[in-house]
Amino acid sequence: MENTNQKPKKSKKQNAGKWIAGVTMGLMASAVVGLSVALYYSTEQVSTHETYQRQMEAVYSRAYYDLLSGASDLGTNLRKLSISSTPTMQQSLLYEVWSAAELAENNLGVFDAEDEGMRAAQKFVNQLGDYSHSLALKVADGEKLTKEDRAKLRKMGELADVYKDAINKVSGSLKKGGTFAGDNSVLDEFASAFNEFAEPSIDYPEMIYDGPFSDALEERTPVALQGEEMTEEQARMQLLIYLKDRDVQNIEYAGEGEGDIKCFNYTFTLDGDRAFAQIGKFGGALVLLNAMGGGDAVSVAHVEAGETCQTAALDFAKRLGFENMQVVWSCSCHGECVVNLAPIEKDTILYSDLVKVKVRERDSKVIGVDATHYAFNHKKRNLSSPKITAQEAAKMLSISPVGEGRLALIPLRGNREVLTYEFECESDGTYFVYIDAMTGKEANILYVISDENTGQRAI
Amino acid sequence: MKTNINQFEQNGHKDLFVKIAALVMVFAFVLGVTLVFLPSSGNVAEAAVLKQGSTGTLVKTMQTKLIRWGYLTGTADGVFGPKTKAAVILFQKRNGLVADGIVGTKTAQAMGISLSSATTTSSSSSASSTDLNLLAHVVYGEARGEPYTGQVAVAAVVLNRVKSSSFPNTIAGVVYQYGAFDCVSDGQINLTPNQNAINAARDALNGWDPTYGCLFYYNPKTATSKWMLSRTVKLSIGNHNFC
Repeated sequence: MENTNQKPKKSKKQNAGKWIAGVTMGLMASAVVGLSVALYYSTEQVSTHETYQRQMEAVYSRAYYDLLSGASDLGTNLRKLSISSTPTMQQSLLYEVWSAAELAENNLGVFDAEDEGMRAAQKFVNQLGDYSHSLALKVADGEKLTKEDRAKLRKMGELADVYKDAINKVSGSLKKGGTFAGDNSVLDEFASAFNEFAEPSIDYPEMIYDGPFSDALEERTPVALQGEEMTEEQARMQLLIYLKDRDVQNIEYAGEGEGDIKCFNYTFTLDGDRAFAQIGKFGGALVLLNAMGGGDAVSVAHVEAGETCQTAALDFAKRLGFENMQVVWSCSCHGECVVNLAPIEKDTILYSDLVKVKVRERDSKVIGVDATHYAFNHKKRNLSSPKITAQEAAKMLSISPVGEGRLALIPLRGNREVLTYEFECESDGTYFVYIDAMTGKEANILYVISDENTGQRAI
Repeated sequence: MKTNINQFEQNGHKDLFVKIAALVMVFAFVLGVTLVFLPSSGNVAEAAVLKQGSTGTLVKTMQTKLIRWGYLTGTADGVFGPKTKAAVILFQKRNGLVADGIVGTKTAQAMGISLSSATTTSSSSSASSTDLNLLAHVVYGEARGEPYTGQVAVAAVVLNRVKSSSFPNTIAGVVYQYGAFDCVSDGQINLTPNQNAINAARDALNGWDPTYGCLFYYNPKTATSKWMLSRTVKLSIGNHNFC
């Protein structure tokens, strides 16, 4: 019995042993399979990571080498310019500099935005390109390069050498195997090479010319905001007067704006929507108002809404103290109508002094005002009388206009203003052509584009 | 067996071929019939005209233009009456068109109105939509928890950088500049923007800039850059200081 009893015990033990061995083997096999799979995927990931890194390296390298060759072109062309004597050659070289500077600007954008030296380098290439463009336009217009222009171009040529040396500085590390992407990146070294541009000691010429990047535009004075200095309480009262028939709740002072326009900021709810307003510290004008209040997915029929919105915008502008305003453009989009108003002086539209009023189409209530352009530009102008008539100006057009031309003072590159005749023309789209009222030359052309997301705009 | 399968397959292919051929024939027939009965595109355009007796929004749009250009006086009421017809004839005469008082394709084109319901678009229009879209992504990725004006201000900073000589000259150039915006580094720029972010981006594109030209912003609670903290703050909205 014992034997018979023991035998099954032994076989049970043996079975258990086999079982454990089986499970162990199974677990080991699973572990081997699992590890193999993990190894496979990690190898894959490393390979993908390396591929991405190589691609990034290619992007940086392309930008770097384009910068390097572009910098040489800049210096060479600026030198050629300094001795060139004919307008055709000057114009051609100026356009070469402009396009090389544009390319440099694009490539610098690939690198660190937060480095001050990089920003100074960016400013150098942008201003150089913009200045060359402005000189090319001047030469095309029959004017000659002045002594000052040539001196400035020579100075910019010297700076182009500094700029080229800065780009070259990192080449040593690159030759030793350094890379832009990955560990031991030379990106910081590259950025710091431009520190010299950020040094106050650098002899950087003052770049004042007719162009959007001119130094003259960096600090502007809001000429229209010259009234008496107000206290915060007075400004708040003024805001409530402007919005007297509206539901204004929870008005809170949100600090003082310390930019070019000194203003008091307020947050509040306007007809239940959150709003923000800025009242000029000097004179108490409403410089900016913005509320979330439109946002309806679909705009109501544009024409009907357009007319009432335009009337509402004009009425509100009058209340704000903007006199003699006329609707010059309105654009309807997503339940909001943005009405552009401009003052009229001597039957001339002053486009530089635009006031934009945003009106909610649902109930024709004003929910936004942007009077920044007005604040910076509006002043009493002594407009000269045009030297040519509207009929004479119309003859300069390549297609016949719709309706009569009208006088308009338009802003051009930099802070120039030109008295023109404005003509609306239709030819596979709508164009606004501006003919200089003194010389008969084309001063600007705008083309109207329509887009369901941004509305109609003339660009 | 092999031969049988091949035969079966061949039969199957034949069946399939016959079916496809039949379908192609039916499709060709339907297409032919449709083409025969479909009016030409010229006819469609000519069929949609505005003439005396027409009413609606399109008439109103046309009247608004005629009033603006000085061909018509009074208000745009959306009814094509004799006065409107006279104005259309005057417009057609002055613009070298057949002066019949009927606004067909050519007159509509000269007036810059579209007689079909489709809105006219151009290649540049899609570019402005792309700008809006990219800007809205930045606003949502960077400032979705901020007050509305704070969102407009963030979009305005992007546009101010485009205008500044110290930064790239396109919206994409500014947005994707190395290290410029956290939402690009952490991928939040790829989130789908909500309506608020889109509206804020549109306001900024329309010119609203509560910062009056600021090029930077930071959260004073989390910012560590000494250079940034040393700059004069021109405006504070929500969690952001603009400078």
